[in-house]
Amino acid sequence: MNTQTIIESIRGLISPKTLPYPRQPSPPPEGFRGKPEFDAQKCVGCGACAQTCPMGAISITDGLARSVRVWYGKCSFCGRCQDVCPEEAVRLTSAYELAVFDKNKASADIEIEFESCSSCGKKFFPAPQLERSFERMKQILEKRNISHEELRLLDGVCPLCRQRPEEFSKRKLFLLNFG
Amino acid sequence: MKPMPKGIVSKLRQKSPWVMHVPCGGCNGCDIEVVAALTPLYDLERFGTLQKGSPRHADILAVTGPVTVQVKERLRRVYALVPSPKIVMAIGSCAISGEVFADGYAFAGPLDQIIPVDIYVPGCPPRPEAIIHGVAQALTKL
Repeated sequence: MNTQTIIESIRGLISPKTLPYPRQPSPPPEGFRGKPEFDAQKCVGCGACAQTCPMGAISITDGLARSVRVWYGKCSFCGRCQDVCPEEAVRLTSAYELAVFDKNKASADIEIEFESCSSCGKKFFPAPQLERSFERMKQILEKRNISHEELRLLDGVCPLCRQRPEEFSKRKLFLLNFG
Repeated sequence: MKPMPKGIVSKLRQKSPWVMHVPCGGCNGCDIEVVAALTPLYDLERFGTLQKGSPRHADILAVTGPVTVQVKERLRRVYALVPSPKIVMAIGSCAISGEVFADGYAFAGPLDQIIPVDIYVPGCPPRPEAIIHGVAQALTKL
């Protein structure tokens, strides 16, 4: 036994090395990737996280609203979703106590509202994503003297309604003005 | 011998839940974390938990990794040898869903399709603290 081992064992007798975990919380080290969580206020429902997830732990189902769900039972906590999210809505927190009795309960869900088609009323596109794209086009619209409402009338129509002849002529007129 | 009253037995079991660790063909990440939870730093043993080599001595089966075709039947046999009431812990995301191995040729289905599972501990791998938390949750079921 060398001297260092003896010193270490004496030190261990004076101050115990065991972590007092269940009585006191044990914070994980810096940069630890815990359970991913969605921010429902920031998420636009684009689905980039579901597309990039190597495990397929993030699923997107479209019903009356778009529901984005991450199942921790399939998650590998790699953080790809956090890297790829354009709105920084996904964040890997430092929470790690995920033990559950029902495996389907180990998940985080958020719901994104759909935009309704202005002519047929069908829900066709996540509303926050449409809003975000308008925001990005703001400068170009101002340059061309096109009002926000004008574009909104054209873009708030579902793909099926866009193929109708009356819509088509309206669109052509807009493009002529634009170009 | 007269059988002991049931309340006493379950109380004693909660005081000393013996664990058998069954690796079922994962990447060994979770196995290392299970062993780390038993070492002096995290010290699961101060709660009376002891690691046992035989399923006949165990109360808790700590299963890690996706279940492979090779280990499937052996796992069933190990499960049958554990005296009841028994608790099965699925440790790591692999045991819960298969994770990266889910499309592999040797994957024999997630753990809960082979033996009944009581508690799931997600993580890749779960931290030793998460495993301790899982054991503490499982003990409420004994």
